[in-house]
Amino acid sequence: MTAIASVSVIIMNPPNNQPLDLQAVSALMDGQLRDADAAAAMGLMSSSQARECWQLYHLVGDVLRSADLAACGHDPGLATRVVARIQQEARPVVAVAPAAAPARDVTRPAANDGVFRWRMVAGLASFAAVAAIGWGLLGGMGPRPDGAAQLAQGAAGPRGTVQALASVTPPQPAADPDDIHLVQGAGAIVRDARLDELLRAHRQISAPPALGGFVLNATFEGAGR
Amino acid sequence: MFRRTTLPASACQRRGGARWWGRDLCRAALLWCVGGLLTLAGAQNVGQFGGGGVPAGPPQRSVTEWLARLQQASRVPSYVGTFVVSSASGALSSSRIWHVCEGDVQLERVDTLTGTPRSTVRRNDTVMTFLPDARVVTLDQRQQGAVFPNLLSPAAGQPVADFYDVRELGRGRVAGCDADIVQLLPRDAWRFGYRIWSENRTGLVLKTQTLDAQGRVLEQAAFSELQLDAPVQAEQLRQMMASTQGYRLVQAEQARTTPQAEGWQLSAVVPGFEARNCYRRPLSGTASLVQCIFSDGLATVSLFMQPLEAAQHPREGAASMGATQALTRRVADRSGHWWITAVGEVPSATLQAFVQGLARIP
Repeated sequence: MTAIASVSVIIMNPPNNQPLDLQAVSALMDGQLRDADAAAAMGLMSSSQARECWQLYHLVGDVLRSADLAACGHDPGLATRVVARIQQEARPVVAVAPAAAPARDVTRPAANDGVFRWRMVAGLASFAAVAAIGWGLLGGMGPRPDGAAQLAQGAAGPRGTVQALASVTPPQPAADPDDIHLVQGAGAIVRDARLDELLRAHRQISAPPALGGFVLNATFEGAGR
Repeated sequence: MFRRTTLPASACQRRGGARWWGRDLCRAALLWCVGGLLTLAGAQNVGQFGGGGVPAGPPQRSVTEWLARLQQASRVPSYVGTFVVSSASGALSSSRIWHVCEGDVQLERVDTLTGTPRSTVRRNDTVMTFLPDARVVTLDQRQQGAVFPNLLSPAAGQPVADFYDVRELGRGRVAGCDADIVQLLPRDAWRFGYRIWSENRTGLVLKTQTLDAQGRVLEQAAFSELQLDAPVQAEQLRQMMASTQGYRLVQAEQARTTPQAEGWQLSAVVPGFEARNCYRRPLSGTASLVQCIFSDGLATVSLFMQPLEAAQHPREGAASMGATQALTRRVADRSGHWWITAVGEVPSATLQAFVQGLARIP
């Protein structure tokens, strides 16, 4: 509610000296701008006010998608770190110095934390190219780009899971062309309120009494497993 | 020696269980030492199970006998405990549990300790979920028993026995309670395996692990603290279900249906899975959602079918959350396009087989 209220404040009272084109920010987020319009909007994004607005809009989107996402704090340094990492990786690597292990930044949330990964997927959904980060991608995705793997620092858990799943071979592998289509079309599902609702409907009944039944279901239900 | 200090405060201690404490202290001290050594030895034994451990002789109970024992244990008179769930993706959630069983009536309360506050209260098949932030209480009266056969009834079909092997792995200790460890391993790649810690007196499930084909833990759930026979007032739980003042009551509107009645047919069924139940409930607008539930007695798969809304269902995909997998797919027929979501605690290949076997009745 706070986020939505603040948005309306910005819209109602743009600073007099620097009126910000909120429509352009919103359209850029939704991927509706092309060519010159997109370039102009990207120009806008150099102002801190526009970036604040961008963050706020994404927060609103997150809250509307799933209540769990609202609980995540905003990490102002994320964009800077992503840009720095991309620049670093763009350079050809001549020799890798056997440097000491980089110091861990324990102040930011772990990349393999369940809720954090949700947020990564939801928040970056507008950057279609970054969709490979986040929670398990199954089947047909091939090896993950190095960038994605490094962004998910220490994400041995999820990656291990994905590999394990990909290697399970059913007894009768389907040679159906539909199968190929499905695997090729497979990507990450962005978590939203609708998927949450289906997960909840499933979890209400999913655990048999022999495995803890109701207690297990009620603990899982709504939790970002 | 540390056992001497932990024993009196043991979380698994039953009321009145410390009576022998007052007896001859020397004898008791000797018992603790011997007990400690035995437990250590047991723990070492148990520690080997990951690498093809040494089960003590042939299984004492079959798969169905084990499942019946675990299900029977949900009728223990009472307990209070803290329950923790952790998945391979790193997500961790926990809850506080109150349980009481009087005759055929089971009452339970589960309060989440992580994430959005939520209290879920159950009286047999009636489940009420209180969401204090939203001031909403939901009421669900779906028949859990209709999804999972009553293993305690000898007449019930037991497909589960044909698809899992049982292996007893010795003894362990969870939440201060001594437990029998049993492993249920799938005989094919369509399902996951389970390792279960069962309280050795009552059979109560203290801990479960869901395992993939390589034996890696995808998800685990356990009591971190448990008091068996704790004083739980059934009356208080009953009153909680009756006091919905200040809350908006939302009753799940759903009707029993069949896949055929909804225009769906499942041409190929994954071995061992049986159709258990099918519900239809309204969505926003004129559309409705159909949920069909399949189970092999341990693993559960839900298939959700709804009309495709291009804006809301942009592309097919798959997701993995601990042991839970999800898969989405479009299906087209003469009447239009449909959106399928499969969710289950099974390998992703199993969900793919389910959605590929699903088609509109021509």
